[in-house]
Amino acid sequence: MAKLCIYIPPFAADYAGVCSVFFDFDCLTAINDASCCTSHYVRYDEPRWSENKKSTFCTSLRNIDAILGNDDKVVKRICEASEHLDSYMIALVGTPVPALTGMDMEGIAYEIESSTGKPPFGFNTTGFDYYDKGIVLAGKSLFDRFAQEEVELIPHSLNILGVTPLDFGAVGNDISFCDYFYKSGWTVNGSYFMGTSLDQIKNVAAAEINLAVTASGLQLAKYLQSRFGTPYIAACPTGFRHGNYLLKHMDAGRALPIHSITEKSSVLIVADQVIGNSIRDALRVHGCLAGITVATFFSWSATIAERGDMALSSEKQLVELVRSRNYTTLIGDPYLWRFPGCEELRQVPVAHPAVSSRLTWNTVSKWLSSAFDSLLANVVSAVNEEFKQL
Amino acid sequence: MSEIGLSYFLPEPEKFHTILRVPGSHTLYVGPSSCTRRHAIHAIEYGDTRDYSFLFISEADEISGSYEAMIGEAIIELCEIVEPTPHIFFIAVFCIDDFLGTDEEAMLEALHSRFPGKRFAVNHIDPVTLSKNNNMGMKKHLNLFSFLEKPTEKDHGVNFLGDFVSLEPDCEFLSLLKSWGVSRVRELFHCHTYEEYQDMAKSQMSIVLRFIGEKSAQYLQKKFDMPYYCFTASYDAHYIVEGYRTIASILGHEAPDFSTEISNVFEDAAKTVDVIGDMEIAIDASASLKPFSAAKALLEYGFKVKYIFCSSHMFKIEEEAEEYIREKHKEIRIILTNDYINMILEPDQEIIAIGADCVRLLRARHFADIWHDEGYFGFHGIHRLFALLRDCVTKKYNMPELPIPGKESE
Repeated sequence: MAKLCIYIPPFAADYAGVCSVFFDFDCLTAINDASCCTSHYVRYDEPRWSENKKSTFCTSLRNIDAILGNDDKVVKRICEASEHLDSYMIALVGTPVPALTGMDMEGIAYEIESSTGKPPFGFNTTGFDYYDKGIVLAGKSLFDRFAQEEVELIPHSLNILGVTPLDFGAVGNDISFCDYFYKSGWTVNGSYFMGTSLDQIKNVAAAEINLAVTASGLQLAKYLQSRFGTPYIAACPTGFRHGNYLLKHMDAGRALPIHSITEKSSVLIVADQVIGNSIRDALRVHGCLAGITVATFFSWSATIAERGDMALSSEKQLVELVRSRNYTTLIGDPYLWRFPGCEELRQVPVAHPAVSSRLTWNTVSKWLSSAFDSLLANVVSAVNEEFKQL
Repeated sequence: MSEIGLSYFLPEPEKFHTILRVPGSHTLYVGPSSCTRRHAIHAIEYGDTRDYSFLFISEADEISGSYEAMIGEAIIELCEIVEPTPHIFFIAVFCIDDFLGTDEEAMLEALHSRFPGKRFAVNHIDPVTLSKNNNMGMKKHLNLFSFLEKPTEKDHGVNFLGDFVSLEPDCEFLSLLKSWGVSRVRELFHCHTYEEYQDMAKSQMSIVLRFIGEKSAQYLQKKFDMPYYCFTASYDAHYIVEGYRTIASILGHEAPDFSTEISNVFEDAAKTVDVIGDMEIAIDASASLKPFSAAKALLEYGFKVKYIFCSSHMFKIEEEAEEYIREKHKEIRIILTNDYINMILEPDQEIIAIGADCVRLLRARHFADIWHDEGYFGFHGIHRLFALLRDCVTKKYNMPELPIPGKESE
């Protein structure tokens, strides 16, 4: 049954993606729910909750308010809080119940603006979509509201788009990405959305190039290209060797190649599509001879897919994919590989907190580290050994 | 009590959470994937994954009402995959179900006729309905006992209901029960087989240790003529004596004289008051499920209580104590823990904070770490509390400021 899930944990929701984007800003974010959705975000999808700025609240929605469409109560609570908590802006985030009863977060946000005068953001997120959609929604809204058209282009600069703890944890990957490009002679105009400032939102058009490190980053890059003409590359530096490979292409102003003919796949990567592609490229940089398939449960773009890659929509599809092809190596979040049969295959854990939440968010790989290079080299060595025996 | 504003979630203390289940049962969570996520993560954390699965419904499914049919299909698939095949299924639905007009009885009837021999119950995880009169945990708890069948014989066992952890082995209540002929104490979380679970129907009485077990006790009384007594954790020595006397009487025994135990409690209280001096106390609902009652008891022992932190959706379990505090002790500040306004509460550091919430909010230096009264029961629990209070004044915590919008963290 397509919608039954026995082995894989349900993924982070769209509202968690929105809240994650707003976490670093001076924003009062209110999740319009009874309590569970807020609890999901702060306890299961926000690794920074216990150590950093707390800006996300719950409206304590009750059924009578939802049925009667009692928007006034939500407006009143947020406006009252806004008087005491001196935030620069306000965001209201939807969840399944208001989606079902037709409460309009965007409309409510405008009512809040008229009372508080603070920039409002309303998101009609539903909890039926995944986090990546929320990141795109929130990112676009911020760029729509604040990004300036007339900014001076910074030579040899880039934006890193789609950096969130739901993809990379809160273990310092955001900082190491920036450091890496700085040390390589690039100016990092901004890393969106970890440690991002409002000025960086305003100046997003100043970068020469956008580097989309995740699928949500890719959608934002496409948006920024259509608005400002900024070219983009969709790739995440995956180990230093791949990072250097990526830099060469960026320095030369070339897009990364897409392989149209591949060997029969023996490696399956299930991840965010851009991250999955980057792991594949990194394995090839390390000399992988075998074919590699990338599959994703999240946003899918045919333009960056290779033949055989696929979008997944259910656990059953993943189980069938693994059982129907002769993969020997499974790469992805360790909690994806819990169905019978996986234990016989080589599993390469690459934690994805949007999948496994707090089970892995402290053990997410450092993407730019020699340990990651060693991991990739070991995988390639084992896979090539098998490949030669075929 | 004034209406709460926006709610704030304090970081959750790392505590082990017991998952209550009927042995051999399977829970199918039905809802948007976002609603089911924490249950999956929680089940993995506690190694309980084979007993849970998830049926994701889309917005289209919810509107068309087709998800009721999907549940049947999911049960068929689960019966093929899950080993051993479950005979009891809990169908857990979420807030949105309250707005869909699902006919729960009709759904259960359809499932029972489609799957003869299987048994079903519906659990509602719907905080959108929470109020002082409605606690979703109570119905869930009741469902857990709804599969008990009439036993062929009764025995001398006693059920503890509503609890998630056992009493401390040296709590006098356990030895008293033994002296009154109780052969064993049965708790759901100790039932590892379906037979052990069914043995709970053999017990001679139920003792409700947490209020969420009360409806279950009423159900067992009605179904099996099993008497029950609500005897939740308390720091009031007289309440404890009253409880022991009543339970002894239900079991056909006479309780001993507890005058020595009572005077020991008051002596220990006086000693503790001497040790902590003028230091005031804050207590919250994460430490004690009845914070007003706990505060009242502490006041009677001579302690100075300055704050009570309670929950905005606290179920009605201690109205009398709350009324007493509000009328007789107007000097005590009563605070809704999760109200956003507490993020800008003035720190009150030279205070003893009983509970993880008030220690954070007041940035108190002295922390008595108690969670839901667990491990604190009977006279043993009172003495343990006093010992903890004496101990915590000798240690100093340094809680960080709560960073809030518009204000950078330290």
